[in-house]
Amino acid sequence: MAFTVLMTGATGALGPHLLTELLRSESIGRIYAVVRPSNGADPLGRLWKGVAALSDGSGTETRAGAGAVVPLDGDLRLPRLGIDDHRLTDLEREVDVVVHAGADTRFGAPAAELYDTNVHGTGEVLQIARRCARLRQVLLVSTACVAGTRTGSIAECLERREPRFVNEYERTKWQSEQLAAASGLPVRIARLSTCVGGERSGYVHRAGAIHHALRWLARGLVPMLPGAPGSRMDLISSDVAAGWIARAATRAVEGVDVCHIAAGTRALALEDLIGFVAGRLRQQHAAWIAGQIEPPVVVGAETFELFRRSALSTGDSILARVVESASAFLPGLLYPKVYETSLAERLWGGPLPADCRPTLAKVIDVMCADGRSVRRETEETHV
Amino acid sequence: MGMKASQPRIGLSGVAGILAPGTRNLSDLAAAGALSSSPATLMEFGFELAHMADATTGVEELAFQAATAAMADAGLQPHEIDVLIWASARPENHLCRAAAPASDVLNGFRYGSAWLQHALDLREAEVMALAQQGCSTMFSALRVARSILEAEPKRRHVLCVGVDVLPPGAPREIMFNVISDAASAVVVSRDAPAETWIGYRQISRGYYWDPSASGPEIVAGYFPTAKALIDDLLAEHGLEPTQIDAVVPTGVSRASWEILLDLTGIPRDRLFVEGPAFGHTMTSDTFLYLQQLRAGGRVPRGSKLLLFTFGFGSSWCGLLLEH
Repeated sequence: MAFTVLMTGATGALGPHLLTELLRSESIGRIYAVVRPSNGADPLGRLWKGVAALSDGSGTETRAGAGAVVPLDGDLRLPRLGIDDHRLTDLEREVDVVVHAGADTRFGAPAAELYDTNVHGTGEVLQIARRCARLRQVLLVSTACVAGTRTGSIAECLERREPRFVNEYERTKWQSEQLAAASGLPVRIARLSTCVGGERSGYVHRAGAIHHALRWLARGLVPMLPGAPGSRMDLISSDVAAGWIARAATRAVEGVDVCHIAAGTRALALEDLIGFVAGRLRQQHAAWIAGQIEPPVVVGAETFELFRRSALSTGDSILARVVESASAFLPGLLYPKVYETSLAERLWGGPLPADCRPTLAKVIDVMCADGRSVRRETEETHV
Repeated sequence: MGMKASQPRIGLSGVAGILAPGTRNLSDLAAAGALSSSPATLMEFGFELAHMADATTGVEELAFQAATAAMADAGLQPHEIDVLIWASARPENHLCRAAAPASDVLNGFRYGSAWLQHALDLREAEVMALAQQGCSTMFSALRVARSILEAEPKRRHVLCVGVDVLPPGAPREIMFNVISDAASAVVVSRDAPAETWIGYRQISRGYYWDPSASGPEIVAGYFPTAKALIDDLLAEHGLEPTQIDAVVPTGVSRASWEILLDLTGIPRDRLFVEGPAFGHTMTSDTFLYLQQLRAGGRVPRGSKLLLFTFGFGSSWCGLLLEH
């Protein structure tokens, strides 16, 4: 039997990777993809664009074009996602699995906006899921960041006690997990560490905080990173994350299941990661090749805060933007932690591919080809 | 420490700094449109006022006073100076005020260095000048002076004179620093009794050549490059960060020094900041502070001093001395 999937987040950062992996799965038939209307742009065309960019010639996009993917106009911030009644009836009758990957991932966004999309939106998804007669699973795509400022080994289980958070994004994702877990539905929570991009070409569908940070670093705008002894940056390829979710979507779940799709104990130490990024930039970026830019220095909380305040005081708009954006997520590095991954690996059938360096190298090549051409992109809502 | 037996004992025998006598506070400067940041922000960075030259005390007068004071500090007469090195961050400060019309191309040859040699009667001195190093120009002058003394045994004393005066009506804020007009002079001597030369390191990065276009990159690049330089300099001379007894700063933002000391592992209490705030004088800050350190007598003999500066261009320079 082929499963029918309702998916959110298809046009987000992970969306094309996830859609591609779902299309590759022989266990999955139809995919309803909620797509936020965008200035009259053809929704299928928007989905197609990302899938085509990841095409490896295996015919995945052919299947997408053949009607396996059904786009639905919708918005996480609206009641019942704004899906019309006729379509909702179809969903209630057909959907076996809900993959809720849509989220507002702007670390520095206003709390109310993050809440609307990440918490209220999850509530609306759960309401629809509850009405699906054939529902087997709600797979909530969450983030490893829900551990907030906790340190040490982070278990693959629901954390009922609210930790302190570095930003409101983390808080709203933690809240969405609580909501899903309390729904009484069969819920699998996939906590992703930072997804860096596609393995084959370094494709990044939508730049996130890590990609902005790489661009700034390439341009020499990141003088220091906050960190503590033992700080690691847990990175995985977007394909591994998407592949795991596609596999998990067809596996039975009872109650609430939590997994970390992360490098875990094999995550790179912060200093090693900086060394790797600097080494790559020194191979292909003119100013780095010429030895003109020094890699950032790892500093403690007090020094980073002193720099942050000084930089903001200058009123320089570029520096202020870099520092403000970086301050929304980098202080998480001050709380060293290692994500346990045994449950995720059991489902995967072995160790998750954890060496992100080959993918990261390609992403750096794509994102940082010319440090001077860094665009002042605004971060977008991923729905 | 880092000194080979065959090398002459070279050091700074005379140090002097002179600030332009006129001052204006930040509110006055803001009212005159001379600041781009708010006075409150600049106060937060540690700035209080700017010393400003006037019609009677300009480039020549400040240079003359600083050079005279440095020679007196070294106990030298003008004829004992073997080499004079004029240094300035700004091109217009290499020339004396001109009486002739600006269109007279000969105005461009009215060199401050030659005028100073004549005014001080440095009859034995060979004259040269250094430019295009921004605020680190004086550091390069000292480096050249030391190299001359090492290479030419007959030379005993090199007088380095740095002077920077902004044109009348010019903005007084450069990249969040309030600029004062000043001059400094240092006599670099063979067999100097104090401020003995231990080592020098310079990093020049042309990537940052254009401060107008690369302001954020320069601010961001400052810290990791400064750390790299200081780490290298200390390592080269077998010194741990905690073995630096005093860091002689420039007059830029206090917070930036605290950040840099944190990055390098040098305790914050080693930062030598005494006397009234004078802003940032481009080439002379370090030597205004060094003059105070020498006069104060609170830093014990034998202490290790780190002098560090950054100059547009861009160059990062560090100098290790034994007090």
